[in-house]
Amino acid sequence: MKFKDYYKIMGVAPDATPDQIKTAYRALARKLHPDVNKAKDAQARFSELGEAYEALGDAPKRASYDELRAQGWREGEEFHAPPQGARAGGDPRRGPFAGGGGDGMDADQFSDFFSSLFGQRAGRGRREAGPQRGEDIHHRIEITLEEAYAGGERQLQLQLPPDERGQAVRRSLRVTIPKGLVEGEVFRLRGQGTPGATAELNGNLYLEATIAPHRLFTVDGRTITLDLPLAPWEAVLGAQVSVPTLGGPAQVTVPAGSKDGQILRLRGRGLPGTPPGDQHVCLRLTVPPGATAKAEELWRELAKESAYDPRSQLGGQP
Amino acid sequence: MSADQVPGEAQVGEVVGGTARYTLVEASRMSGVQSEVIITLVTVGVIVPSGPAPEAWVFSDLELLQLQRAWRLHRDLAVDLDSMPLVLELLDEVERLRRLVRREQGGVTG
Repeated sequence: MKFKDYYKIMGVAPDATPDQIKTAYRALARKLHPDVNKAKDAQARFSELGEAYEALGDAPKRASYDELRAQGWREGEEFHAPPQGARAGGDPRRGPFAGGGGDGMDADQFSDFFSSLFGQRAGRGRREAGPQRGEDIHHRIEITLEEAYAGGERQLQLQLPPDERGQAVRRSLRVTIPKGLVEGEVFRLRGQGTPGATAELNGNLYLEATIAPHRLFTVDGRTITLDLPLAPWEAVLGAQVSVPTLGGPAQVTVPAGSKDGQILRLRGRGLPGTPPGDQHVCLRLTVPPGATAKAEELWRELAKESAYDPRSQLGGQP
Repeated sequence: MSADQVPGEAQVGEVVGGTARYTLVEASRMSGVQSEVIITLVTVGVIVPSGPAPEAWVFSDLELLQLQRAWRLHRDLAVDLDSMPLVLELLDEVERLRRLVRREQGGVTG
């Protein structure tokens, strides 16, 4: 077990006043809270911050921690807990924060290092009377657009709150991703939270889906959009083109006289649901690179033939 | 702590937002949020359960998640319950705008 530098975690000097520690905690908690911060490591960093504050925000705990530092302990060193009597606060299970919860199921338990100094912390949320239910766990998961469309199966590695011995827990779990998830939608795995008094009382695991950026499509709710490049003559004359959709290529008729930016709708070709979303095909006029002498001549002829003034709306300028 | 799942045995994910409904007592038990706190959160408008009085309230899955989120923000960041609707609204708005930016940046360039 490594010695932890709680001061460094909290970003305060070792001689910080209790008020400074409190202020630092509040500022960092606001930044790192998993409901506010969507980064993957936010949960782990927030737990670590909570542990540091529990140690430094309480005068007796801080005093015993400072004593260890005064003995020369520094961050990252292999640490062995001092014998029972040497711990400030006497019996660690009777410390000001220790032992009260005692249900062993708090999702916010602290590291081995913390428990070796102060004992396990008290549970936080008091609950209604009755058999103890496990905690729900919330995570975010990035899925591909293909998985959102068709569902899928995934091997997940979850970083869970430390267990009762303070060991970081990683859990490997195979999950079925339901089809038709949209951005921000939550799906649930029953009973995969922390254990309750009985199996029926296990907490649930909630996974919030984020759809990864896709090479071709953008997504808004159940609507997916594809930019479709067209040659000038395809836009003018109309064309039959093969368009990628999530369900495979579709033949699409581009009407004659189509304009850049126009959107064709492929009904029901978006993400599944009731009703299913549409696919939007946004037409993009492109210009062929490097014309041959012959092509250039044809363009000139076309220009002469056409009375079209693309800037007629700009007013008067030749 | 739960052991690793047997490889190959996939846990089935279900979309939250189904038809399940919970009473106040059930909602409190399921979410781990005390009934009094739930009542306050309803009073300030964090969620609007159907039903006229607390005994008749029914909560959906999505509302349970919202309750838990509000409770975590109150417990961990001391967000005032009265200010909770504003805070949740702003957090949601920031998230919506972030998604919009991601979509613009992640899309195909012309």
